[in-house]
Amino acid sequence: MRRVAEPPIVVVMSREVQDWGDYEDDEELPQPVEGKPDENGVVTRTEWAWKDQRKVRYVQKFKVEEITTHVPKRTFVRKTWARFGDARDAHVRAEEQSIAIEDPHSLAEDEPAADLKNLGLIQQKLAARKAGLLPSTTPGESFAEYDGGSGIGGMNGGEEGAPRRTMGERFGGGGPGPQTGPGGREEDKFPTIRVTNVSEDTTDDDLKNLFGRFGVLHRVFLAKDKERNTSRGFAFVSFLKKEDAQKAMDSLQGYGYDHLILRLEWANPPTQRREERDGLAGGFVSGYGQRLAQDTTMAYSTASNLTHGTER
Amino acid sequence: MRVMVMKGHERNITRVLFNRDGDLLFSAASDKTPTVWDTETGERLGTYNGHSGSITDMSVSWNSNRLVTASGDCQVKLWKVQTGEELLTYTHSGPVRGAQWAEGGERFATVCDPFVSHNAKIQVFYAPEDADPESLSPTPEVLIEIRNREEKPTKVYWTQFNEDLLVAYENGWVRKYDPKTGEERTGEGSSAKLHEEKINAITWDKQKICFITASNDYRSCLVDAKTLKVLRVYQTDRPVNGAVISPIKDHVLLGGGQEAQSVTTTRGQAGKFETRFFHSIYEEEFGRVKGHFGPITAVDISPDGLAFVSGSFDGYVRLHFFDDDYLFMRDEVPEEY
Repeated sequence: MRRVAEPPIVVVMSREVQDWGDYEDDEELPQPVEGKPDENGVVTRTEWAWKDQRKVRYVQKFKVEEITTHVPKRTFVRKTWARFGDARDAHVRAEEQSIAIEDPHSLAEDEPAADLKNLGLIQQKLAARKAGLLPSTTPGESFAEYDGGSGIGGMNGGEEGAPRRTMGERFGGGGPGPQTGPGGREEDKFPTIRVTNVSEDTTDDDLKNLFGRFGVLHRVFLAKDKERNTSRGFAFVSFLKKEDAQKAMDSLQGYGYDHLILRLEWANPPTQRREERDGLAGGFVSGYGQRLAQDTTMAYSTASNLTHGTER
Repeated sequence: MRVMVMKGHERNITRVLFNRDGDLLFSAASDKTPTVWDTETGERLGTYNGHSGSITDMSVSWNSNRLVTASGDCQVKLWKVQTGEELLTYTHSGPVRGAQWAEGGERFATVCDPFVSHNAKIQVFYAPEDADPESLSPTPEVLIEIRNREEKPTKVYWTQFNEDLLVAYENGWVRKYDPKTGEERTGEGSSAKLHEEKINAITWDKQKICFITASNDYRSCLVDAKTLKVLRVYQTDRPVNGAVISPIKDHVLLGGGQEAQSVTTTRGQAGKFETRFFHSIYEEEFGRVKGHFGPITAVDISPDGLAFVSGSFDGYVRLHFFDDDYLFMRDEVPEEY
């Protein structure tokens, strides 16, 4: 039995104190303050530091999880081993120098360090082959041919430096749905249903099971709360074939699913439904149509941080 | 994906290795000191000091008590894993290229290069763990000489239940030998030419039913161990230096990159210094993990399939822990296919 605290999940919101009236040269820095975990296990830690002779407040949010793992006795015994060889003499120093833990978030923003979520493409490709969209099985053919080079071109080691979308872009991590991201064009090719009133406990797999009955799915995107990793109540489901999507639309409209009633509407063709979508009638809670983020919670939190940041 | 970068070596990594429980990570480089790390925290637990040449291969026994290391200084050393104590040195007639424990940890096999008048040799040593280190003999139990100077063995492995010695050659052949008599096996499934060029490494699947090769001819093959028939071929565009089979998914991981001599002449991004993920059945590449700035020379995956490690020519060992979205990703064949 071990207790592991996992610190860095959500990083930073830092604001500098801008007000010149607040300058006091020999002012002491307050001690760092760490709050108690809220109901989601998120802890807020506040630190102060001097930067360019100005007092700067750093607010960091991170999630604390207690994980109990069971390890075999023999590996537990190995934990108590004394250091030996070069590690014995300078083991404190060696520890500091020898490992670096990369922040996964910084990597995700700079470059796609991990592109492991493309497996769906294999399914997609196989399905497309079946549906006659792709002519035949030729060894070594790349996804690039199928996707018209829309970003996955680098996958099969063909042309170097082909534009590659980051994970966030490709999987709509930041935006409200796939249509608003740069992947919009690709999505337009497939009939997509927007599902609202999805319960919190629903997972991607649940939706795949539910909609997979009607035909081959191209992809399922379920909007998730970043901190709690639970559903935010809406999802996009795209099918390979229009008929399948229509079937699903007809059958699941108003379907009682996990104590809530599902509501389905077409997400793409953008040209036909523009009036409907841009107005309030389209069912968009933000009231500004689809272009604006539906998750207004994000905007709120930024604003509140602003006010937090300027106070001391 | 959580990544730990371990900077303990000064030269290119030659081998990375998990023990059977996955809690220890061994790394060997051209800088003479094999190192063991704690997988969970990334701390350096110790180094095995004593070699005077680059380490080419190593193997840890099934219960993580003994380590053998093969080195370019014509020596193989037997170590106590826990303390780093050197138990015995086995002097060879040429630079040693490979060393591998048999199942059960009683014997290990080594392979060394031809040197001056000596032929290349494959040797089996008896070194049970409970024996007094003083009583261990540095003379081999079995000695196989490769008289054909054209054929250079690169690595040696044991097949299921220690039935055969499986030796990989620089010309792309693999051959099986009897580990008791040293005779070359004849008949079907005893030898095969799998590659056009040098075989760099072979890794077994969990049950030792099939193995995957990594070769300089840009390919990696999944091979049936009994018949030596090639089941699947994974084609890349660079030499493959390491390949492993995921124990929990139908995936294989290939590590490679361009030859070291051409690294400085090309752009960093063009080097293909990524670990590539292939679907083992469809032979399709579906993902890459980058981070190294030199060709990847060795890869291994933890026995529970939750982490993988890659070592590179740049001297860094990178330990990657998979995210949940990879681990819980479903990859079944679409129903209608």
